[in-house]
Amino acid sequence: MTEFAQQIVNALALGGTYALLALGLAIVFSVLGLINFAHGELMTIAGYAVFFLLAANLPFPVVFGLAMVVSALAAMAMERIAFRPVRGANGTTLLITSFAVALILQVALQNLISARPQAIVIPSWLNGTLNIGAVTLGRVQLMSMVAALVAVVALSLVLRRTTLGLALRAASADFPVVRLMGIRANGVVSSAFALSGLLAGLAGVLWVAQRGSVDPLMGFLPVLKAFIAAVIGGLGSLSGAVIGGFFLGFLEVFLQAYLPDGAQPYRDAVVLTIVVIVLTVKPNGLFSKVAEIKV
Amino acid sequence: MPLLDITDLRVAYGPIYALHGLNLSVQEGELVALLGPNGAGKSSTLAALMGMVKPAAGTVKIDGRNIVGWSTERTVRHGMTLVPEGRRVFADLTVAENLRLGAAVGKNDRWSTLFDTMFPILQERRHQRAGTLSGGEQQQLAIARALLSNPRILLLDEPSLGLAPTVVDRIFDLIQVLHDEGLTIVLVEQNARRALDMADRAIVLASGDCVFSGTPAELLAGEALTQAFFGGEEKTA
Repeated sequence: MTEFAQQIVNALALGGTYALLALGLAIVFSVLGLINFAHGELMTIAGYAVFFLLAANLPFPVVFGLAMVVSALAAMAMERIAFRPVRGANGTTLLITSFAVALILQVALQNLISARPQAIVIPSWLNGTLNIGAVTLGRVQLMSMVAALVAVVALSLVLRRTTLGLALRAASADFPVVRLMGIRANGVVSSAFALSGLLAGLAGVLWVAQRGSVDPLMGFLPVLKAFIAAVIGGLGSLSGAVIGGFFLGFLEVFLQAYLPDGAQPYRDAVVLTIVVIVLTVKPNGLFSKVAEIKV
Repeated sequence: MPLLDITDLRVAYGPIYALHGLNLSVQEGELVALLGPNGAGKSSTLAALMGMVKPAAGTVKIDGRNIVGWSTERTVRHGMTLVPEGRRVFADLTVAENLRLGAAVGKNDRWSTLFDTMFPILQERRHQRAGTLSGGEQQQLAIARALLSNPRILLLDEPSLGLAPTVVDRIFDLIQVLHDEGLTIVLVEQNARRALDMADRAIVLASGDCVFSGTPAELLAGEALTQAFFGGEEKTA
């Protein structure tokens, strides 16, 4: 029983990070129809920001916030430089552009900094664990869960209460009519990227705090997982992205814990098989809406 | 000087021309009906005016300023907006949220005093999702939303399309109120008779050409409308 509770905690921590990344992907996808595979590099950029800012002896909470800002700015720059020139192009062009951006950033980081992982030394007060009953909770794990929860609540408030949030939701349904309200298309798109950058930055900080290092290629795998999470949830559905993220987190942690030893190497294969089964039953994901037909 | 001045406006989709050279001047406060059968180029004209498609040639001037090449949002901020065909309210947002987006760039409250008398139903349903409104209510919402950007020129694309006859009356009453208030309106309508009842002037398009321009009385006396819709030499019944 205790072990089960422990696995739930682990799953929540991992799922929270996937959920943050999947949300970032979903925000941009819902507005632009672009799956931004360079999203992982935003995470990486946030990771390097943590590395350099900690080296500059800034206090960790400041580093945390600044790394998110750096990632948001990087996302806006990415949109301005790479995606705006191809806006409105077909999905394949957008997808290839995002892969190109990801590769360019990976190679640039390898050449400008180092291909080798750099150690991230988190402050000692974040080390160690809390014991709640028999369940062990790492402080970084706890921080991840709280941060993911706060981010999801904050994002939902932004999307429900602010004019910008309403414009983003409206744009995901009918972008041309949002422009008929006099709302600037570039502003909406730029804001979508900024929000996705903030979320990627948050995920990046949590990721490097958990693994204790940053390297140029570290963003690839988590963003691939987040993409799967977003697809499970129904691409473009924000609540679906969150639930998909947690679903994937639970799947991975519980298979890790309960698959027999001999089957462990096949964990990812089992995860993906389950994903395929889910998508066979619900091809548009668990939470996608039926596409409305416009007359 | 006309408020809206369109000269030799041409719209092409690839090699196909949807509009071959429209000329139209609209004075402040006028209601101009833009008529014609499906595929005549009416919607293309509106899309070109709003910067939603790039015209192949021609100029569109508001107060003497050429707006061709402007983005949709810049055109709206300059005082011309469109109530699109099919209403296109944001179905997942509430009525109040739809109106809030409409007011996102609104500068004054020319219409806000009239709102409660013009659109009582929207006040009543403000917390309801727009997708749950009836077609007529959605059309009212679409018009109210457009007014909140405080336009000087309102383009209406098929406002009565798909609505029940009694609801159509309500929508035309609303358009009449806006006209009486002095708003400049370009009205695209299939319901030619109703549109001509209130229009100061009418334009008839057929296959991308302007085949008539004049007063409603002249149009009803002649055969341009019948020919545009039915072609050939047929007489009106």
